[in-house]
Amino acid sequence: MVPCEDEIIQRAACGDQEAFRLLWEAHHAVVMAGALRLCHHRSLAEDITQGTFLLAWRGLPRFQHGKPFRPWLMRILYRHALDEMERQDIYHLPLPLDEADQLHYQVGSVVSQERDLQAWMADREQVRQALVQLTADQRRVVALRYGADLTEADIAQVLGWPIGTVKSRLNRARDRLRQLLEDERE
Amino acid sequence: MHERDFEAQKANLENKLAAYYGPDLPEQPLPQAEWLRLRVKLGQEHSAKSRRAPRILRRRNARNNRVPAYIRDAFSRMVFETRMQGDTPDLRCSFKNTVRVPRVHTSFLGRHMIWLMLPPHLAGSMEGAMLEVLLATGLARYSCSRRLENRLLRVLLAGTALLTLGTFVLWLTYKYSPLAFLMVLMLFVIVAGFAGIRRRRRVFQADDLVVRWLGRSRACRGLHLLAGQTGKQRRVFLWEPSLAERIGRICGTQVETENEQLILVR
Repeated sequence: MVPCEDEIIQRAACGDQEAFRLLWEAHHAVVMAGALRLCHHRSLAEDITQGTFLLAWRGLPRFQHGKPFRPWLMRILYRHALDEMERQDIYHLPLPLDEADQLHYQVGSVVSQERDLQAWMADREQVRQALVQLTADQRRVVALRYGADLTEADIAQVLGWPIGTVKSRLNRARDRLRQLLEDERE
Repeated sequence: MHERDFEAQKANLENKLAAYYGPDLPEQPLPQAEWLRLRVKLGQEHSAKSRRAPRILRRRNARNNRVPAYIRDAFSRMVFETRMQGDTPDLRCSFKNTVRVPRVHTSFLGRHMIWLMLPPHLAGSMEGAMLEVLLATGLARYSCSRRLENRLLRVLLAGTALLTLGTFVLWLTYKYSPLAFLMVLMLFVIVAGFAGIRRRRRVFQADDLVVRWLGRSRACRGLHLLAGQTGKQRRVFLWEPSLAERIGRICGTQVETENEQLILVR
């Protein structure tokens, strides 16, 4: 009989690594996809995935049983990923070509109709260089808004900020980005 | 006109950010090696308490209290199956050449810990029933020691010990009459004796719990395996029942059992 997830979580919270392996198998691929979309670097995304599960392992005894596991795990992922990206200055590194190729393949039809791969990659590089010039907090809200598709309320919950702060930082970040990208075009 | 420009710029920015992060990615499964890498890290994890300890203590703890995987897994399963999730103790293992018979003990001060003292040859594997009895005994004694009356008794004992020490110091320093010191000392002896009797009773209560959890035959087999270990069991306290006494009580007399028996070590 396959145990239900709640039971697996309780066992893992008691220190059962075999139960935790089941949680890893059920969720790691989604966590990895989320991390890769945020940071664009596969090796860093793998480290972030590992770190996320390690933090989840430590936090499992405090997990409120009966609540859904994945949203809780994804909140850990987002916080950890943003910290790691800032710590490793990931915005200063050029985007990896293999990741760009893979992404281009996934949105290939849209991209090929509108512009060629070179221009698309140049645009992304331009955004990256603009992101470098934002503050760390502004980069965090932008990443969660556009890299994780979270609403402002969700971002407030993940980062533990008041929603007004999230809105103002997001607006300031957009204004600054718009200005930087316009300057670049001129 | 200006407003239309602003809207166009806004849309342009949204498109660029959407292009930078790309669409939602499909699931990205990782190779099995990644789980193994994580598992190694999980094995190195210590309890929150030991993480807060100074580095030098952490190193010593890591060296002395490394719990073998087979014991850790059996312990976590037992904690789960005995429904002790709310107040889970940490398990520590200590392998010493001087230990002949495996034994288990809980903290006198009420710390959330169970210590397994094992001879080094049991680091790799151990008979299932013996391990179950050791772990169940540890959990049962821990569970009994958390009861309110036992906590109060610990506080009382610690209080009288401190009082005795304080009176002794006062007697030495200010040359007071020894009567006060002797009275406090007598009080301490009475409380300590009472605590010893309670402790002995607690051991038997814990044994009853072990029988409920494992079933009599399994508990009996585990205790006999323990008794079969070469060497003589050293008792920590004089009033603590010996292994032979426990075997006689569990295997030779009736202890109330529940029908459901747990199979803990698989």
